[in-house]
Amino acid sequence: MRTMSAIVIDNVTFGYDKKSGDVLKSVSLQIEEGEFVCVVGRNGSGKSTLAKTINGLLTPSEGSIKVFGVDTKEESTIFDVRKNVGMVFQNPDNQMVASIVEDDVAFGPENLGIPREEIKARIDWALKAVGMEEYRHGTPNKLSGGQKQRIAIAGVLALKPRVLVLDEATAMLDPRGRREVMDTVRELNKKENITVIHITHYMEECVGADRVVVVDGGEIVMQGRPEEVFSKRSELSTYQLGLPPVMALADMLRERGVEIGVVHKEDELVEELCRLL
Amino acid sequence: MSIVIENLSFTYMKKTPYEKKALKNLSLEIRDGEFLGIIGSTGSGKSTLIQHINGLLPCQEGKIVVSGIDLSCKKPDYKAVRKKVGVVFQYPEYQLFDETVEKDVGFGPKNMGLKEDEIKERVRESLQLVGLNVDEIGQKSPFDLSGGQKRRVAIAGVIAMRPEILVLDEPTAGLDPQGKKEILDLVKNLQKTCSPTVIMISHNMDEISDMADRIALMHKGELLACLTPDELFSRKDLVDVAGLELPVAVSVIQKLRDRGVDLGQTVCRKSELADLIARRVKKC
Repeated sequence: MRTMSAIVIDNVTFGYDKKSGDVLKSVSLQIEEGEFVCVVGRNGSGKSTLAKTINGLLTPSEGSIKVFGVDTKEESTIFDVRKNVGMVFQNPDNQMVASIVEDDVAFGPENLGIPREEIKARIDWALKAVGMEEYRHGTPNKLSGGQKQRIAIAGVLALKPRVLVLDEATAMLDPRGRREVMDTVRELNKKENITVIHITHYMEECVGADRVVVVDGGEIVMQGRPEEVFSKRSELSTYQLGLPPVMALADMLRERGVEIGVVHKEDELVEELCRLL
Repeated sequence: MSIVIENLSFTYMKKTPYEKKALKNLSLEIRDGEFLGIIGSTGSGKSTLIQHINGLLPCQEGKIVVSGIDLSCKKPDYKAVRKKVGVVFQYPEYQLFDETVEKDVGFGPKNMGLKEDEIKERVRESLQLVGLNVDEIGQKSPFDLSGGQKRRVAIAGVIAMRPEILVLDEPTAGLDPQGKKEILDLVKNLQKTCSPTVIMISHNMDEISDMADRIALMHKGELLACLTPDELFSRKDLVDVAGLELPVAVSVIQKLRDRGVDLGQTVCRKSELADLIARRVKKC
């Protein structure tokens, strides 16, 4: 039997109101279970709107979205959708609901009426998965931004979602916080086979993803493996997007006549340079 | 000398169980016309420091003199210092409040007691400096603008006071790559046209080493060093203590050195590293 796709977005159109027009225009996208997809695009391109349609926070005015076969338009099954799709937003401070870390993580499963023992087990697992188990009895407001975002992710994980949507979850963090969150998410994707949809402005976070989707003017304008997308520099720049810093450096070297092969990661560039120097 | 800070210490919630020492014995001189970058992880004291520069936080211990105004004396002239120092806080667009863009940008000059026509002129000029046109957006509500425009209007509101010293706390946070570039170009431009001394906090090491003459590195309330970008990032001891992320160029140089290829110097800018390598390759 063929496995079912995690998410099928079929010809989705959406607008907030008539005045501002459609923010998403006939978008179609299929995401398989276990995939790590990065969504990039300039401010106002429709990335966040797209993310919010995936767990039914917004319902499309035309077209349909199915999450593991369940249509987000069906009100009777919307909780199945939301249980499967966990969302993490930009501002860590806006996502904390309790004054103790473990209570915060327990908030979701408690609302689902899950038995106490099971909730405890889930908290253990979720905090361990984000590497925050030692903060279990601490208070979230004493944590750094990166730590808070990991708690927010744990709170979502406690619902055992199969898909994690990160809506610019790294935008407000310092470099270390960003790295913590990215490492955590990559780990969850690999070990737990959680499907990840990561919306970001940081091109370097796309390196290593299975797919990069470029959104502009409410449409998907490019997609493919990171190396394919990043090889189309001029097309990217028309959407006001650049390359990850390492690739930009490699380009500068090529402009100066240094023959560098295709590189995406820093270690690959260093390898190339060692060959030349 | 533009700003002189000597042995500055600051403690939040003094004499309570929540007491927290945020600045410890910090000394720093910022020169007229300098572009100073401030880096350090969350909680290192960066924001506490800049809030001292325009007197938002009172000087508890030590000395701070800004453009000749002593903020460590008994009754500091806060009004005077706030005219000289304009602070653009993080996500400044959240501080827009007035009905129209024109009124919002004119709020500062109005409070400075300028006349109606002077205020109008200031608003026009300030909006122009940030790349906006008063005739187009002056009568709009600031809340109807796009994210990038809102941030520009907020910056215009600060430079409408014509501060000699412009302080910016992570001005590019949350913007897309193009928006970031535009704001950085704007800051460079403002230094030339309006506020000669700029102090900017950033978490982006590539960005800050590109912009700053010197970088102040903060760590747990202390100033670890204040050096040029190239000097700072060549100091492995400092970088390790503060757990800094490195600019891409520096990171590549270090990895090359680990592999036995020593380029002989540390540069922070990608273009400079590319030049350096290109020269070496041609010699090989």
